[in-house]
Parts: sequence; structure tokens; C-alpha cells
Amino acid sequence: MGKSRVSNNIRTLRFHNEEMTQQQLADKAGVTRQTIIAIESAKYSPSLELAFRIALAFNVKLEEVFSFSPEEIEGVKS
Amino acid sequence: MEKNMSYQERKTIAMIVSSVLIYLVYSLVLFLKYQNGDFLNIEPLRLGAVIILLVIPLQIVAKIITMILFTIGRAIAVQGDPDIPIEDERDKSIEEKSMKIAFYIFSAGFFLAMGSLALAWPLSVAFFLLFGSLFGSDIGSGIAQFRYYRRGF
Repeated sequence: MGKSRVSNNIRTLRFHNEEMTQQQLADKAGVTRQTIIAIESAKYSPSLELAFRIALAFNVKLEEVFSFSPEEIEGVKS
Repeated sequence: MEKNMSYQERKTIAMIVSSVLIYLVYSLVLFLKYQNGDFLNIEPLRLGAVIILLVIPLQIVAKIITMILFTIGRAIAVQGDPDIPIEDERDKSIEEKSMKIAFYIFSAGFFLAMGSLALAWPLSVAFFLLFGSLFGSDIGSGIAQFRYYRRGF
């Protein structure tokens, strides 16, 4: 599995939220710490619901946490 | 093997070991019974069906026992609440992907078994292939699951 085309700022957001730990974020989002690690390292793209729950945990909009880079898709020119 | 294995990785390894053990023991029992001549009076088609049908509930029971032992073992290791992590969407996705692999392996074994019958090979070959594909699909899905957990997804 390669890197996801969905990138995120979770690490930065955690840092700016009183250095929230991965476990704390996992508890707030209702997932395991391993899932947060996989999302943070862009190995796993979360469902829309989980993405919203993560954004809610930081009290920010979804697009402030996740971004999508369509130019990275093969054969698609932006 | 890295030192920090997650709960899911440990559980997957326990399941793989349990599968290998149950198939080994079951095969050994069947082999000893065969050597004793216990199967001489049973029709081969019926014998094959019984052998394959028996391995499925055995496998389910073995998995339940493994899960109980694993939870007890973990509780002892952490000296208290085993704190079993919740199953989230990534776990379900990994399970679906590994089940797909199990399905492919079993399908391959099934087609080979049907092929062997079409070629008029002995019935035992078809049953060996079916038995082998059941084992292979179980182990294959376990290994795939472990691999998915190891690399993240």
C-alpha cells in the first residue's frame, strides 16, 4: 500500500492542542491508537465520518485537517 | 520481529499458531486412524465429507479457546485489566481484505479439486486439495492480516 493522496495536518494540530497524544486523539475519535498512527503517516485514508470526528476533536473544519492533491493522480493534469 | 507489537498483531499471531496446531493435530489423528484401519468400512466419499465438515467447527472452537487464552494471558502479562482495544473501521477493513484473500485461496483450491475430478484422478486427491485449501485460506488470511497491521494498512 503506497502513501495516500489524502494528506493531513494531524501531527501539527496535535502539537498546537497542548501536545495532545495519539492515544488522547484516538480516545476522542473513538478509534485505536494504531489507526491514528496509520492516518497520521498517510497509510490509511479514514472514512468521512472518522475524518469529521478527528476534525471535531481539534475543533477545526475538516479541510484544516485533511487535504486532497488531485495533481498526484496519474494522468490527471490540474 | 520488532519489540512493540500491537494487540492486533499479537492476536493475529496467536490465531495463526492456533490454526497451524489444530490442522496439524487433526491431520495426525486422521493419519493414525487411517493406519489403524479405522476408515476401511467407510465409503470414501462420505469419509471425505465428514473429515472436511468436522474441521470447520473444530477450527471455530479452537479460535474461541485461543481468544479466551489470549485474553487471560494478556491480563496476566499486564497484571490487571487487559484493556482490549475497540474494533474500529481500520480493523474491519483489514478483516475484509484478509477475508478476500482467504476466499481467493479457497476458490483456487476448489477449482483445482474440481479439475482433479474432471481429469478422473482419485477422489482422495480432490479431498486433499479441498482440505489443503481450507488450511491455506485460514493461514493465508492470517498472514495477510498480520502484514496489513504491520505496515499500517
